[in-house]
Amino acid sequence: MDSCERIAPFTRQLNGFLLTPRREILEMVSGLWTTDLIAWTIYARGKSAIENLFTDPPDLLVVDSRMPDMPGTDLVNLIKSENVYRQVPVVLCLDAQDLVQCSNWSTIEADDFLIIPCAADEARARLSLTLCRASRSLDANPLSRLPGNTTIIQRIQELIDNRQDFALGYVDLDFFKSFNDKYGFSRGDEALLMTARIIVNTIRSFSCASSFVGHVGGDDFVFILPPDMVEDACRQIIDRFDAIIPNCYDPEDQERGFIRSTDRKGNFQEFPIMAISLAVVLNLDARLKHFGEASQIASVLKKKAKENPKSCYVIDRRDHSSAA
Amino acid sequence: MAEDLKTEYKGKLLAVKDLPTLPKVLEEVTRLVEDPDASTDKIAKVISLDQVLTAKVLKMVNSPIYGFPGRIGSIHNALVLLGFNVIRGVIISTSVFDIMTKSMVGLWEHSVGCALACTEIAKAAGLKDPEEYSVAGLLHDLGKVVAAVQMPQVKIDIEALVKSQDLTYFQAEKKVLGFGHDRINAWLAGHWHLPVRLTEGISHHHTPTRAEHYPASACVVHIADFLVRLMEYGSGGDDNVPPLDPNALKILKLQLKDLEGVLDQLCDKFLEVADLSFA
Amino acid sequence: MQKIPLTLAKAGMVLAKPVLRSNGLVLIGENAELSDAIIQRLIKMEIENVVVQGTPLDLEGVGSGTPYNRILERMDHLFRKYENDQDMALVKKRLREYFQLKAAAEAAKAAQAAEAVEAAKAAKAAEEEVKETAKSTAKKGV
Repeated sequence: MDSCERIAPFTRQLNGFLLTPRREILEMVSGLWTTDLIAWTIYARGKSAIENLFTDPPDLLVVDSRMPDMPGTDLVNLIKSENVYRQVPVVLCLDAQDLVQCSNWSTIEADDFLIIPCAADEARARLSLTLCRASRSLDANPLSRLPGNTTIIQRIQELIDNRQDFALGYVDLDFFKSFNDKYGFSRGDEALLMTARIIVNTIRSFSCASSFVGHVGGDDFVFILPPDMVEDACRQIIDRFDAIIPNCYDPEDQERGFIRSTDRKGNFQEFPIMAISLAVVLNLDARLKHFGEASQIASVLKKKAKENPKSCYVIDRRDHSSAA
Repeated sequence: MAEDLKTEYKGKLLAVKDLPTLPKVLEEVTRLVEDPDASTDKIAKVISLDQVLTAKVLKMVNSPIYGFPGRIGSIHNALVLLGFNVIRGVIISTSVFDIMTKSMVGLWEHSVGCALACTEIAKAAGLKDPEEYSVAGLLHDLGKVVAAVQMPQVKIDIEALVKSQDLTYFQAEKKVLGFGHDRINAWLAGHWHLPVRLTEGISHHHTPTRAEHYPASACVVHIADFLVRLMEYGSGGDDNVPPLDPNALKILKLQLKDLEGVLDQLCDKFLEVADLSFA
Repeated sequence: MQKIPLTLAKAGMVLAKPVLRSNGLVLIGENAELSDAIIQRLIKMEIENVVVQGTPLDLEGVGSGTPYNRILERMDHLFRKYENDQDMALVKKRLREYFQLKAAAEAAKAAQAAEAVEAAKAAKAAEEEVKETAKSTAKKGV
């Protein structure tokens, strides 16, 4: 037995929970892989599984829609409602006739489903893919832990497809490179973390269910808010950033208001204290069809915002600078 | 309104009226925080009216316990960067600093160390808002102090038991009072209307798997307490490491290996917080 | 890095951690080199300790440098109540390995630093010798 074989992308033995009272499902699923690849804990009742979920979250959950103590779909939603366990992938086992009832998938939080009876090969492939998908969507930025590009694009496309009105803000920092060059990467990271925190806490204060903050990488961030809240949010982010960022500089640079450095030729160069630039794209009346359009509009707006060395935001052709 | 807490110690009670008082500012600020129209500006203004408190809070938020040491210039900045829950925790702990340092040698240092460890463990576990977990670290041994202040003889009896029978402080507390400081923390948290996450962090750090709503909070403090005792940073009242519940690591999806990264950070940062005091 | 009392700080030492004002904000950033003037300023501000790069001072048993050896020595005592606990035995073992590695790494670093100091001393001595030889040769040549 090749002991290096594992269920990709994992390199260790996995733990699975299988919730089913039905023998055929039990036999099929537990026969898919050997126990050194995945060890299954079987529960015939939903309640006992829930209890153990807290102390020993599994890597994968397979739930039969026909549980004796509660419907499988309720179980799935219960599990996913616990934030800490949200990322445990859940696969629902349905009978063909259940498909008719399960037409509204937005109310059932399963990551995938299997139709019973299911061929072993198909089941194996589907469960593997679910596991892969689950680990892919953990595209969090290693520094800020905010969602990365994959999630960002997914989120925006979702809103576009649902024809929802929203405002999309692109954020980056001016003169970040000069800060990094003078003060080094760890202080640069500190400034980025502060920026992330400012954006997150500001967006959060608008307590809106559809709000979102992502970190594309480096000094590039993205946020989503309803169109009627976005300008307030921009002004707040700018004010807060301008108030906090000078403290990241050494006292002399703070007093001067700029960094002085020499380039290789010995010429003096001056770089102002960092400023934050925001470009806001609006999706009103479903005018956007694809995420690509949004990012195109944003890059034009961003150029404009960055023409101003001070913190400012530019929103779909209207230009607002922070108070001088 | 919390009731007095009955103990098994000579029929004595821990009285609500003798609990440490929190700064008046805190009540008003808590009210503002719950008001959806109140702005961060307003909240910052109210806190800033108390200049002595403001100075202490700034000193604390600029320590390495929080992610931006030396960078926070105002209460407003602190609120923006760390959020209200953290600031509330800092306000509470600066208020109890005096009784902590007077009642038990080394307890303040142990609490600061624990706060630091909590932030690092929360970060390692990928939890959102890691600094919020530090609040529970700062306050997790407050119950020991409350008991010591209200019943000085109790502390003497507990310490005597620790010495004579080589018990942990926690074991001795249970023998003398009938319960441990985690129970006193729960009582205190009720009286101060502390949020559930903080309450569970400080009343279940010895029984992390019994936390009903926020197991992560209790687990973080549980592990932090273990690490700080291991490194003997400050004193929790005895010289033992507390038992480390492997479930606490599981719940946070951490392995022993991940704790090594935390220890790396702690060795560094303990050096920096050694002078943190309001003496 | 080493935490030292300000009274023992000397010009040329480089800060490993920033010095903060009493309100918590940075007064002097990390990587700043200490000068006599800066040290005097800090003393006036009643700063007691600074954290400097390297280990320029040989402080015996004054709580400086690393705690790894101390922790290793104390582990048996701290874990004494868990002799029959398998889980704790495993934890103790892993932690012991970690601290041993750390202690060894620190010792190696210190040895390297000591070597570097010796090498610098030797180089300086050799330089002096050459200067002396040049001087006496010059005298002879007159």
